[in-house]
Amino acid sequence: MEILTRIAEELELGDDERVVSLTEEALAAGIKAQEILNGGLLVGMEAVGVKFRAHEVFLPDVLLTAKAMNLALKLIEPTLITEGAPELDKVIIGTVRGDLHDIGKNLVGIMLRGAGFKVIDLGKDVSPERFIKTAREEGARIIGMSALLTTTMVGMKDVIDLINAEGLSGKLLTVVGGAPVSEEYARKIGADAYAFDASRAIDCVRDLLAQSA
Amino acid sequence: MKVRLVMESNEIIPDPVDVLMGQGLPADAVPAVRVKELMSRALEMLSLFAAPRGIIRSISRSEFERIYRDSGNSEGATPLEGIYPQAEQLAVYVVTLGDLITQTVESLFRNNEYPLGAMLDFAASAAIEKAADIMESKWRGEQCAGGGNYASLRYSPGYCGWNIEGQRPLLKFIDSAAIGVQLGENCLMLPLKTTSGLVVGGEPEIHVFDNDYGFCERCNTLECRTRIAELPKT
Ligand code: B1M
Repeated sequence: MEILTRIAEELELGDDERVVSLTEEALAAGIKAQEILNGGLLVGMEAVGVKFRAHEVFLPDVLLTAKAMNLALKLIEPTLITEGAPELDKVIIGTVRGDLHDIGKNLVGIMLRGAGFKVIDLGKDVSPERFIKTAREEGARIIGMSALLTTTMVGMKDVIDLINAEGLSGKLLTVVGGAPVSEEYARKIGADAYAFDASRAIDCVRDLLAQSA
Repeated sequence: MKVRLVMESNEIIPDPVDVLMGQGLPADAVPAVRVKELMSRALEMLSLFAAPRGIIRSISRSEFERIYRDSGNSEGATPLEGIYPQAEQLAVYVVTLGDLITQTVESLFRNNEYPLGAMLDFAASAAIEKAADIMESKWRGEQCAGGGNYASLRYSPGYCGWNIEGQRPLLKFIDSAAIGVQLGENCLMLPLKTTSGLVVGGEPEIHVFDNDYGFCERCNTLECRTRIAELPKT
């Protein structure tokens, strides 16, 4: 369908106004929201992701695309629900206790939303109890944690310890990231995955969900 | 010498290339028109909302030695341990852009304006370095009015093996509260766009070291190499 290709193209260019008007046009023409999502929006988003990984486009371009994507998602969401589309997988994210940095975590959230996940962002300075309580209430299977200092990244282990203490190990999975965090540290504290950057966070979440399905 | 400096916000507007490089763009990249538009809006907001101010205070070698010793568990051997004893002059500093910038970034993100929010955040990170450059060069000018074979570089707690806990004795020595900078229990400074450290002045060679310390393996910036390469040659 030509309009879906145009949505994907404008999304790649990060033109939010065009993406919104084309999405409205597609809905008005009776195209299913699920089709707009899969055949237009996710196609454009995926193309930008590929270019980003190949260093052909950069963070500001990706954020322009993600903004357009989120505006379009808001438009199609009500129709998606009435169409009975399957519920999106939920991911809880936050910056760990004691840490007030949130730009990296915000970028992770934006990219995950763009990739079609429902993100519940708890903000910064999040206690282990709050991470787990929210995951339970929302029925989420993934908790994503961010930290920017060596003094605060220890808070990630507190969350993982609490998951284990509550017998949720294997049911509630964790992804960690942030400047001082490494693959080795993630392994040491028992995290299920480590993501170097926001685009890799998407792959980690997809892999974990696939493994635990 | 202790100087409290209030800068004009337009003095600290960074070079757009530095802001883009902070976001992973190569120095010669040609940004898209939309990205250029974001940049000019972000720089305009920076000049409206940044309130750059700092303190720089000269410090003797023995006073700094006490700060370094009180920095908790720094790595066994660090470049700074070999550098500062050779300095002709030392000074400690703290510099901040104030809280309004971070609040503005947060509000842009809350309102789905994250392309602009992120651009402003990266611009502010580059601006704080520029503010520190201004303080450092003012101090250097006063220490070394005659010019000659002299270079200064900044070293911060949390970098190159100097424990981040070093911020406690350092900020106390400077009295950072006088410009509204507070240190939390995890050594996080508020406002967020704040940086602290030591300025080491002396012959350029004293700053040269090999990056073969254990912690260099975990470093993903290796910025020290660029800093050393940019030192004046004699
Ligand atoms: C859930 O799953 C996931 C998955 C991926 C996840 C994730 C979660 N969370 C993050 N990710 C990942 O994806 C994101 C997007 O791709 C990324 O998120 P980030 O948040 O990392 O990335 C942001 C989008 C952009 N990145 C950043 O904003 C940080 C970049 C670096 C260079 C950096 C910057 C720019 C700054 N800093 Co500073 N700073 C460093 C950083 C070194 C580095 N290479 O990262 C770091 C974080 N800083 C450090 C330090 C020491 C400090 N900084 C300080 C100051 C500053 C500036 C103000 C100059 C500036 C802005 C900071 C800010 N965030 O506002 C000081 C503290 C400030 C404070 N308020 O307390 C100071 C203490 C230095 C000083 N004494 O002044 C180091 C911490 C080391 C430690 N021991 O804890 C540091 C790692 C540098 C280093 N040594 O290599 C990934 O990490």
